[in-house]
Amino acid sequence: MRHFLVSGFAALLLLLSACSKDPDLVVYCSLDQEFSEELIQRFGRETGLSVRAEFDIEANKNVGLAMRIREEAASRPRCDVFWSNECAQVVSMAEDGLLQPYDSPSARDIPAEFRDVQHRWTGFAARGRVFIVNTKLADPAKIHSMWDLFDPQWKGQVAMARPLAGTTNTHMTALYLTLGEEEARRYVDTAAKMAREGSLNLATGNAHVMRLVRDGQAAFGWTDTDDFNVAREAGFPVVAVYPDRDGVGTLLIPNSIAILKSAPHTDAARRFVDWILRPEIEAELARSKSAQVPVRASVPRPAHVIGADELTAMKVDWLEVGRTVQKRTAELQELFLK
Amino acid sequence: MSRPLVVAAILAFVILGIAPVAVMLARVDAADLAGVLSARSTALLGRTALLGAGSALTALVVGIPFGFLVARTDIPGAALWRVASVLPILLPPLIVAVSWAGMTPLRGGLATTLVLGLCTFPLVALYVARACERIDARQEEAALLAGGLSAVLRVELPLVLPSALFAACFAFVLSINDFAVPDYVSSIGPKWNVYADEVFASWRSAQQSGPAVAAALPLVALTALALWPALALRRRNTLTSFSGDFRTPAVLRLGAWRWPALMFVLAVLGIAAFAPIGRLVFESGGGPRGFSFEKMQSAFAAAFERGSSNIASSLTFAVGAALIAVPIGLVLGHALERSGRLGRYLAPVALVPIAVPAILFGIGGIAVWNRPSTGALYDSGWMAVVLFAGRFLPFVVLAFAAATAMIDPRIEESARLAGAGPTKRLVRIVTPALGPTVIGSALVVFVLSMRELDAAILVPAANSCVLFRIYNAVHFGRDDYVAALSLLVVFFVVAPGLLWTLFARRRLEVLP
Amino acid sequence: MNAVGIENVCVELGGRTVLGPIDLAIPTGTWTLVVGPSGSGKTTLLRTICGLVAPKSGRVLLAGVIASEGPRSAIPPEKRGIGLVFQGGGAGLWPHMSVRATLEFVLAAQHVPRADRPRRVAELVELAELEGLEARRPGELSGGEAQRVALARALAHDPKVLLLDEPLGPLDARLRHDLAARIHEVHARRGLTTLHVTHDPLEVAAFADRTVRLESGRIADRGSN
Repeated sequence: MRHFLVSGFAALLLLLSACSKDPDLVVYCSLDQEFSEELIQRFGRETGLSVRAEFDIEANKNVGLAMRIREEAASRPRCDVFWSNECAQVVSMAEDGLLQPYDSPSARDIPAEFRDVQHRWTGFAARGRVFIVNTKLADPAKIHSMWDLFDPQWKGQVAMARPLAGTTNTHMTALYLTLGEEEARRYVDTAAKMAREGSLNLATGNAHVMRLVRDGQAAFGWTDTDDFNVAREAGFPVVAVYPDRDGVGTLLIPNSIAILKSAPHTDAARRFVDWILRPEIEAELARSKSAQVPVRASVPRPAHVIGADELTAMKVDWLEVGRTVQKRTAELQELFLK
Repeated sequence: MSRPLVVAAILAFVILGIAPVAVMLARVDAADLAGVLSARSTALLGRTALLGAGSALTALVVGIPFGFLVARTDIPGAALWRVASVLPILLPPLIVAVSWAGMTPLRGGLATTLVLGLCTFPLVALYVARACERIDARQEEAALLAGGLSAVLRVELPLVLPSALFAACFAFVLSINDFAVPDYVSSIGPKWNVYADEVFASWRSAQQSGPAVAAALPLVALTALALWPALALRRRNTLTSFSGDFRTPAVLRLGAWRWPALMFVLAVLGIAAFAPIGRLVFESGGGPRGFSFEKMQSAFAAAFERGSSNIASSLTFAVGAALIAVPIGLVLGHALERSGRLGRYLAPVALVPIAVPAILFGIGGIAVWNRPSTGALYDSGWMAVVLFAGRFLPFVVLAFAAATAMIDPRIEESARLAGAGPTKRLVRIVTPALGPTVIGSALVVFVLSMRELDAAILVPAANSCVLFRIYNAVHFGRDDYVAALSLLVVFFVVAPGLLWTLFARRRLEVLP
Repeated sequence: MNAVGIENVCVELGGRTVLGPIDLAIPTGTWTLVVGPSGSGKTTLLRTICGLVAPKSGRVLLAGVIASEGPRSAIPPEKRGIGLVFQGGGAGLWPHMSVRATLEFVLAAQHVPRADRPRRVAELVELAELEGLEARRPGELSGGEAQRVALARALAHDPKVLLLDEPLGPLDARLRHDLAARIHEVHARRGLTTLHVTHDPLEVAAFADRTVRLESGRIADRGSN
């Protein structure tokens, strides 16, 4: 027993020690590892920098990495770049003074609405908030507005993710700014009430909404374009509907990238940001399975990926979204956790 | 007891298990506590307590007869079903929930209660089985002579009930801290929220960690309330009914009830373990869109190719955590049991690491270890090892305390009289006597570490864990690949315990 | 000089006085029987002498030296030079150690040089009539064999005082007689001071020098045989 334990410890020591080389750059990335990891590794190969990338799981909806960054910043900062798959958390961090400004030359042609005026973060490669519709259960042509979710004819056949985290949370926060306090409140109140009654199915996340709709357990529901694309590519009978074309439009939630104020490797961080924000990367993300929507109209994209100029994009002040997201989340918590 | 060893073990326990909790609790101030229990959150807490009670009751109703049947009766294959009974507790509950949701229309609170009850029934079954085996044959024979099998059952139920209730306390705790299963199972129909959702949501909505930690306190209190009776039951030694002149009870013949009893056992295993695993096998081969063995082969090939390094990482972390936790737990568990009244007062402290939500423990881990002096550890795979060891130490401590209670203290006394010092007695006399518990508790830490994600996700090493890859693959609907990888995880989790049970001479003592 | 001296010792267990206050002097080289009904404190007396139980008050002396005073132990159990054979067939034997390993363990704990251990083990095996059983573990021994192993173990570290807690209890009549004779032979050969707790004083009365009767934790009678 003793020999076994000693050998075990020695082997373990060897294995674990191998994991702790000091990298040239540390990137925390909440865009799915599936897509982002290869890009980050390519950056490392092209530049010769050793890059340590750390990811989140979709179920955590960005909360995990954001919490880690805040916690580590207080004791021993180790993250250089935060590449988030959405925007609100990053804006919130900017407001809390956790980010450093950097005006990347690669970002000059990104539309102003996706850039922080103080250059603390930059948005790119967005996901759209869409209805995924099962064409065997519903006629997409008859779904126009976000309010169709509450139409009694679809009672029990519609779905959305619980809006306490992730892009659904960001979406609801943005609605307060675009619809106004009263209308947005009516929307979330209705959703919460229907969820309690079972008329609106609250899924565990956007991917789950996609599964419910593709499998025919729901007729349509809110999801993101990347989740929709997964179902589309697998050949399920689904289409994406971009509601409120004549109204508030579709919320495009960009990926966002930022350099931490406490970044140990600022130069390497800037090189990475410059590299990621190039139009070629947006094009690559558009071609990928996640089908990200380029925020630059000029970036080539496959036919199934809608262009930012082809839809009515919701006008969003991301600074305000970031400033209000925590307050709105607390309100949504009161409504949806009953 | 060796004082230096005990002090060292206490220090290790404090650093690994208590410090992450303490630093988080220290962030709570009075203002954070105000409004923690609103009418809404109190209702959530009440519902959560009901969930726990319902799951524990389900675990009791299923586990007591199951444990009795596989331990003491002549149902065919009893030994095999006893081994198989650990499968449900080795599967992540969410996998069981997903399988169920695919097979039945049950949703909401009832479905959640049943799923969690079936996932935790093995705890009750294993404890009851052990307690049944420790009923003296003469007690049973007297009952048999007095009134046949029914008299035996009436006599034995009160004898095994303390063990069953002890296990039910843990079933309660596991159930009330789960938010993934209620969330998933109530995705169709009325949403069924629990307090664990509140804890997770608070981390998102609170600007400081103090309020988020404060939000977790009611759940921590409920967990502690459930573990208290467990400690009391353990203290009264009602779980250990051995006496010096023990006679092993014989196998009970069920007669006409033999085949219905077997059906019951198979039905339970079927629903709780075989169905979810079968569903995974089905999904790995293409599932509802067309099953084929070629697809299954391809899915497993992809799982091996992409997931083998993750599996290796998870295995390394899990083995490392076990290697660290077992010696610490052995010293502490032995000391707890042998130090009389002091041990009784300190036993609740041993539970602290598992009494708090995983997310709180994980963030506490960052606060403790992400410092310049320990940065190298934090950045490495050691962080996962340290996190898992700290989190699951309570199981090891309690297992060794219970096992020490079963050892005749005279073997230690005679070694002492012979001149052996405390360290020598611990190493040469106590540890060999606790051999099965050493292996068993190492396996418990191993299994729990393989399954752990909520706390692990917060540390750098988590990225290389296999569950991380599985959860992310779920997002992309790669069901076949996810199923294949999940089956590989199940295999690696189940294999060590299964091999020991099949080939080792001594039975594993895994239970606290 | 007395090998063991008990002065006004009182022992409490679980809040209840189970022994004492008692005074008792055991002369060196004698064989003392300790008799009494169940629960009279016989085992507690032995355990107090060897330091496994701390008295609430009073003094325990060994060869005139204070071993404990009140709850304070001046000499730890392992240093008191006492061998104890526990109550119950083979009780306290180490289940994972063979007979040989058991005796070697004790010798190693007593820092007997490695070169001397085989000889010492052989002596103990011969003393306790364990020839042929050296490789067996406790689970493979009969009741009588296990008791002889317990005796050999108790003698392995050359104690001055031998405490026997109903060593003959689980054995049949013939074995009891044989083992009692064997123990007496060892007692005489080694010049031990022996305290023997028993339920059946008649069985060993021939060997004993005196008998002490305990009742409800107090000495009811002490007499020479």
